Amino acid sequence: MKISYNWLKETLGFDLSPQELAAGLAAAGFPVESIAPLAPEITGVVVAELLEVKAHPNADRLSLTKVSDGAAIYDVVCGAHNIAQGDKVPLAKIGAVLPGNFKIKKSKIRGEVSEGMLCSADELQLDLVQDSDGILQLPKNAEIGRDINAYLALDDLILDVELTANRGDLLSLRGLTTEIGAFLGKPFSLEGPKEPETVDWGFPVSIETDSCSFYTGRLIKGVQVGPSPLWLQLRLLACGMRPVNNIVDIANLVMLEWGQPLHTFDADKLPGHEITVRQARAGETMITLDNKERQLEPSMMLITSGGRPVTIAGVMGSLDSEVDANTTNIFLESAVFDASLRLTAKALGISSEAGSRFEKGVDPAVTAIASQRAANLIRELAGGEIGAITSAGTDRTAAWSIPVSIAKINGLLGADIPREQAVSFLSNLGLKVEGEGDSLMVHVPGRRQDLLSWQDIAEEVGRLYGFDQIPVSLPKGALTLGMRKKSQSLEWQVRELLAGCGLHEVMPYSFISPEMAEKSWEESGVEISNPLTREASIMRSSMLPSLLETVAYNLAHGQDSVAIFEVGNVFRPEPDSPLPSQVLRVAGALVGREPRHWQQPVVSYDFFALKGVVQQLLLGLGIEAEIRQEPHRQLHPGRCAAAFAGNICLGHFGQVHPAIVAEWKLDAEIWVFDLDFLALAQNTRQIVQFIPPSRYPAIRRDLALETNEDIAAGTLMAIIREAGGELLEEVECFDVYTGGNLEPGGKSLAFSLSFRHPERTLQDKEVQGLVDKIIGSLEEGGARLRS
Amino acid sequence: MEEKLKALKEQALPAISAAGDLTELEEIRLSVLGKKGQLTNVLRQMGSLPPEERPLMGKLANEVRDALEAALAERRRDLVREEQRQKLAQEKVDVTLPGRRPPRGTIHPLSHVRRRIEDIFLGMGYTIEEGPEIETDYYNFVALNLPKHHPARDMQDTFYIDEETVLRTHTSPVQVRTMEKMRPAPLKMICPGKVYRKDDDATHSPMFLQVEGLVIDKGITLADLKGTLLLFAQQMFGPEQEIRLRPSFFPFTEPSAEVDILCTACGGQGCRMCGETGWLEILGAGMVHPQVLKMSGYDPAEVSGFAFGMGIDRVAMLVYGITDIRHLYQNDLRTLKQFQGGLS
Repeated sequence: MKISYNWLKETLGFDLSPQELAAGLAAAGFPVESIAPLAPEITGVVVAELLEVKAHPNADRLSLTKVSDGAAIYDVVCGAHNIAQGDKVPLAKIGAVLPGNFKIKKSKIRGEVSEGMLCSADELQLDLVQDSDGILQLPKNAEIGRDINAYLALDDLILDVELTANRGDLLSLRGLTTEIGAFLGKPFSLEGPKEPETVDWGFPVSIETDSCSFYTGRLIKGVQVGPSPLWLQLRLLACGMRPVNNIVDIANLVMLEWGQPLHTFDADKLPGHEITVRQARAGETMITLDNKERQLEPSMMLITSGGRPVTIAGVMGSLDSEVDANTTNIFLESAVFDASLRLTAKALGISSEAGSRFEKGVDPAVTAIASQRAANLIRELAGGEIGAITSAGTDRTAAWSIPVSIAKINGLLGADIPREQAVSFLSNLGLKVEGEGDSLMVHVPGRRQDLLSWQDIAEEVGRLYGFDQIPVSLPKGALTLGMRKKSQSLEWQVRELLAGCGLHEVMPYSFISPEMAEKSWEESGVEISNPLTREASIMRSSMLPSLLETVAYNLAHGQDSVAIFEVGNVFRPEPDSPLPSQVLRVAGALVGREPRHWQQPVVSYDFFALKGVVQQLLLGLGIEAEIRQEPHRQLHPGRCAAAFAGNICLGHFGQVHPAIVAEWKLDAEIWVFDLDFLALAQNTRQIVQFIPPSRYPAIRRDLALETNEDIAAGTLMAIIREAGGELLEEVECFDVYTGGNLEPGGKSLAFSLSFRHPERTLQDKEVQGLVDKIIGSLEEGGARLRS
Repeated sequence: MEEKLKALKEQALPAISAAGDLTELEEIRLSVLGKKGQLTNVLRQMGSLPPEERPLMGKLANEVRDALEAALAERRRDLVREEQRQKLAQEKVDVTLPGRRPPRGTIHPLSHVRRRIEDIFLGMGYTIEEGPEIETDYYNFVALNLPKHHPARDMQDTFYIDEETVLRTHTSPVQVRTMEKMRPAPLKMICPGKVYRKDDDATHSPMFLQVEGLVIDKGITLADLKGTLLLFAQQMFGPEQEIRLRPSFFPFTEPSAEVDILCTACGGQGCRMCGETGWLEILGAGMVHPQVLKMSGYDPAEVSGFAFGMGIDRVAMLVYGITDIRHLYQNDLRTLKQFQGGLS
């Protein structure tokens, strides 16, 4: 909320500098976001009186004036036409500096000397409303010779106070002065207006909705609409509001003072001689002040007259009931609407000062006071006769009291605040406190709708005591075990292992664009109904689009080797469940060349680089997995595999389908893996069953086999293991060869076998027997020994 | 004979010292001390000596042999050394060339910071809890004292899937789920994870990482919250750290506070980074609202609790001197490769 520093100071009578005030407000919980000057710097401009105005001899549009600042008389050439002898105007004397570093010098205009300049509001950069264009007209009683900054209090500062959502009461001079007063130990309560003399014209009002608890109105007849006096306009400017006309300005000023939003209608434009507050009916429409036709919904509350909507309550008035320059009779509304109007304002996209106050709660105790205060000001500044207030509903709030004890307050804060001090804090805030000894009964006024429980009271005591005064301690409960769960530890182990394989962890957004989903051949993800942009509107259903996007970004930024991984969730609609499925995945991508080394030829990432990473990860986690050829619709049909722990698929890896890569407009082989974290976590071997190493030597045999290309190395390996039995300790495929003198479609594989007995030295004969058995099985499996 | 022996010694010793390599040295050894060598030749004449001279001559011959053998051994040692020196000189490598190291990747800076935060609280006996990123409106808002249409919902601009489902705006729903599971037992937990808000600028990312903490037990106080956060700040940012609590408002805590630490750039002197205040806001905290305790099945008359929440991104930005949050989610390898090593 923006508020004038001078206004707070005059009202409360403190001697804090703006910085001290800001520091105090911050300590109370309301930091001041900015302190801005009301007006830009102006020097050398004073109040002056026009002594003479006559035509310029050489220019029709200019006048020659003589002005006095009380000390001297100046000849000033002026181009404006709204000046006459006797006017009080701002005079920028020679040497004055106006906003924009505009320096005033002695000059000759069309042959006539000008010793300064008469200023318009624009030239002073003041956003004021005036009767006529041209020179700023100051009040006739303005004291000549006074510096304009001092006279108009242009040195005022606009404080922008950041209020919390629970403190609607602070959206007013009344609330802020009460709060600041409490912190200064100087309880303060804003004085109410005098009761005006009224005429009873009768203007029935009624309420037909639960969303309006109190409605008041009064007719004011014979007003004259025009610009507000300068003090009022400047006060509004110092509170960050723009002046409009005296009626609207008064309504705004009173809202700023009391926190009660007011609305004014041109009474002659109301369709009926009555007001009814009710919900809108389906199909009703209204043209609002901004000249837009609005479809009204039954959730919206209306002010109606003669059956027709004239305001969307608390949100915006209708164009055809607006107060304008010709208005003479007005109807002044002061009412309490509930927070439901927040939804109306949101639905219509209208945010207003009034709306923000209603939704945070308006104190019904000031509804009539604000009406009186506005009526008095209208009579003073716009004339007119004040009608008696008519009302519907009740201004009474269910006053409530909160029982609390000093022990409870100190128990929650962990402090030792004496009773007297706590009570004085609460009293200074304007709360009535009763009770003996440790027990208190705190009576809460209607303006503090945020105080509902004893904890709220404890907070008020703590705030005034100062959070910095609260001591420091640690929880004293029983000792607890602070330890990661198994899966949580594994998540870090996965990161360490993959980083150890040369992969860099990435953290892309979980949301992707429909295009990304489409060109990655994604299945349906979960859609965000109100995305920030279309580019981020779908919660991804697999890791692939994020990986591809990260790869594409880095390739485009000059990387020729990309090795990345991510641990993150994917999301899928789950029709019969309250929430979509959310599954944690471990995925990664390899693209381009492997890190280069001067001793080795340059190698590009390929399937076996990828498989190596997956195997390293599984090995590191202690997972025994079988790698099988296994299709996946987003992967190259001949270059993809899956890892299995028993029957459980841990995930797939392989080359991204070249058609997908083409859709991404990339020109590279992209190798990815995508594993299910939960499946990994459930298949790790934590405990190793130790076997003592054998003391007896191993016997090695190498087998060079010839077979056709369709037979997988893994199949042969399995045959060898099966036939080799327990004494076969290790099998390793150490060479693969195709072409050359082999038959077309044939390939050669070389295996190294290692045999060992745990308890004795093996005989050559025994080993030869096993090797023969293995060769026999291999022949049945379609492989024969190479001659 | 005596002259012959002396002459042999005089001749052989310089030859031994001059031997250029082990082969030459061996040739000299054979010609002097070998079976058919010069010394043997001289000694053959021993028989022609008178018997009384023989012991004397024998002694002299042994002295000559010893001297020659010693000279040979010394020369051999020198030559071996020299040969080795030359071999080693040839084997010299350029140690500044790159090593053949296994490739080394990196862990994301946000993960480093997240782990550090987790470790600090694990050390204080907290458990780590997790929950879904797409949440029900109930767990994200209602159970946290934010009924539908509550104006405070505007404090967190929310992504919706539908009327009842949101991308969680904080990890607080994990607190609620854990409270429901653990009630009425005491609780000491943190919940790190991704959260989502409709915001996108240099200091706000629509997806970011948050960690929240919750302690519920008998007699938990605001002072305990202060002490816990002070300990955290000192572990995370250095032993000289201080914290400052400023009153604030969150619907789920009462009292509520914003928590500042001393500016990490100027140490509290005031600088551009902290807007000359000397303080940086890093987290929000407070005493768990009685309504929140009640809704999750705890009796606010029996227990109290504190809760706090902070952006892991914010901490990471301070720790690493990152001024634009978008660097953390750009996934530029040039950025990521800088984060070798860890935080401890």
